[in-house]
Amino acid sequence: MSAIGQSIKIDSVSKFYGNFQALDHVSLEAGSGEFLTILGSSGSGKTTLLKIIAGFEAASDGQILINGENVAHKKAYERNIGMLFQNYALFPHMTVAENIAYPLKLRRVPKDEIKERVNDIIKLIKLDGMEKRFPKQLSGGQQQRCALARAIVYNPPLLLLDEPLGALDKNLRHEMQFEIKRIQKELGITTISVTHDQEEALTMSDKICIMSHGVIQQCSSPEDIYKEPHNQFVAEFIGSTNLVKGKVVSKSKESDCWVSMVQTGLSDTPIRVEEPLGKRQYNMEDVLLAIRPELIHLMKDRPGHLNSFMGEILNSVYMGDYYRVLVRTADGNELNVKISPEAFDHYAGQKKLEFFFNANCVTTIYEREKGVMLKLVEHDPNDLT
Amino acid sequence: MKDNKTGFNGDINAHGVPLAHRVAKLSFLKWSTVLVPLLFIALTLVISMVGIIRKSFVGADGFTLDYYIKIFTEPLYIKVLFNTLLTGVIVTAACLLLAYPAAYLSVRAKKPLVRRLITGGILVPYWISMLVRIFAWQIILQTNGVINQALMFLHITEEPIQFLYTTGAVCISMTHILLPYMFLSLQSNMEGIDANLSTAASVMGAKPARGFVDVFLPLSVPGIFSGCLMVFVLSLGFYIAPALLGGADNMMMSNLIEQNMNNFNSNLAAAMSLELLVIVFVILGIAFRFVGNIFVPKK
Repeated sequence: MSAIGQSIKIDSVSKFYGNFQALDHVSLEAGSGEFLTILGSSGSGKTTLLKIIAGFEAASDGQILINGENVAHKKAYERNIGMLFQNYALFPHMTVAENIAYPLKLRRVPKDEIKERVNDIIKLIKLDGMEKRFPKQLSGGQQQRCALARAIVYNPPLLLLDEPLGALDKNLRHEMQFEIKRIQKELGITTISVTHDQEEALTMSDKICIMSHGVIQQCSSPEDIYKEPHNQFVAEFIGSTNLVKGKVVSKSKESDCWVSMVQTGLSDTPIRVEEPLGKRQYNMEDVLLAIRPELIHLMKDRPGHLNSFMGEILNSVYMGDYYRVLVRTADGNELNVKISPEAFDHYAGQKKLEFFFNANCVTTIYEREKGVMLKLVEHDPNDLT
Repeated sequence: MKDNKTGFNGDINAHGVPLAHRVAKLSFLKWSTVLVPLLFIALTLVISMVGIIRKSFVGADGFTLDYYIKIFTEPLYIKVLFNTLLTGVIVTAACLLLAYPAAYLSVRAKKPLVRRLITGGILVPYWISMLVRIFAWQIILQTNGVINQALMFLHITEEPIQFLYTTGAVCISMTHILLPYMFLSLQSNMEGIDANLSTAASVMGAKPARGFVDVFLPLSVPGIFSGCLMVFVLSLGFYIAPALLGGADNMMMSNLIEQNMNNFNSNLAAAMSLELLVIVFVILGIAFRFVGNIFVPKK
């Protein structure tokens, strides 16, 4: 099947409930066939945004463009969008086949064609033999497959997923993650998913938009979100991270990266930080360094490494494939470090150990980006890029 | 207590009372909470029912079917039975038409206040004495009552219309009295219908009316059934409303039973009572089968 997905662009959408601003000039874009996830905790405005895209609520301001056409003033039933509801919203009085056929019936598709398309989608979704069952007679996973089939059977240009895996147990969740992704790719449907589950977001999405307080904090690929968080909120929201205060001593632009030397309490010598040229740099002294726990290593074979520091192990928890270790640094900071069982066993018994991390594994976060509300100012005198 | 060493009498508790005994005592207490009401019903209902059944078959000259033959052949009795059923159907339909939109709005209301106002508006009359409400209708509907005065003032009619002592008057007041039953039955059913289902239908392209017909209406059928059943069955036994607002032409079963009782035809009254009872049982039987079955998926 060829891609049926169309591009969607949310252009500066705001939403007020009385005086409360649920969405503040939210803009995002998903290309044809892209899987975009809006990630945020409850109250971040992500569900409001989904409702506005679906047409259940009207935006106070802004445009929603599907394939270039503004649909902001259209009713939900005029938008031709597919949606998978959190609790599936299957019609309990209709069989699986009747549920899936319903949107086709509304579109006055001829009966023979309905039958054919329902059969095709039932095969795609692996619900063969369940056609005549009622939703209550299906397991949670099967119900979700059925709901997904019903949402895509009419080839909508855009598919919305509302906490798609929230109601499933852990094993099923993994299975459905891949299943949804497989079907989404196979059909090439542009998909916007809303979730608070970061693992789900990281594994399924082409692009993640992190939302908080009605503002998009960062919108980029899962890798970039994880490796290059734009602000402290994003850094702390995705995965776990260590934040270390520091002062920029010097900054230079090399052929392939920005190099900052940052003096921290970790060690006497400054920490070397290498960041891609594309990353926005500011002319500011105070920074936070974000270092992921799995990127801090025990100094085994590389003595004299530039970014090294001494640490004392406060406690360690065995997690199966790694140890989660709490390390106290010279200045009293406490860092989370992931250490492989082999390395941990090797150093068993030693309290004080030397750790290091690579220069390109650190991200600087500037003071001005610390707050939750990140509103990019277009022309910033402190902007170096 | 001395033979307790072996442990065979392990069921003995600290106070030396065998456990089984205590359980028996407890379960007697538990069962008595059920038995007392059952006994009360047995004494009052069953015994009097036996008396009524006996009376309907046993006349002054011993066993007879005369009373039943009479109530099934004499035009007056057939007419009253028909009138009773017709009134029941009209009242049930009226209650459904009035209560359905109200129940729907109360369930779908976004503000709790709206919901409370609708529910309260329908339930408040329920707490006022039925007799008071029927008298109120008498005052409203009488020849120089509010409605007639208004109609004449507006010159819609020159002479007062006879509202009182008609089937219409009886139906209006019975609808008024029975509306809360229908409303509550519908409302409790509708509360169980996931609002997301209508939303889902609209995303799939169903206009609000279409979504209502395809999704909400079929799911509210159990509520419609139980509401109609309750209202219809209750309406069959109405006595005061037809007595005060109806006339001789639109008598209902209860009124005729009462008349027979007062005219020392208690055997006839007994036969009629049983007739009514059997009708109610048959309706309940059919309906319960039907209502019971809509929850079970078709094969």
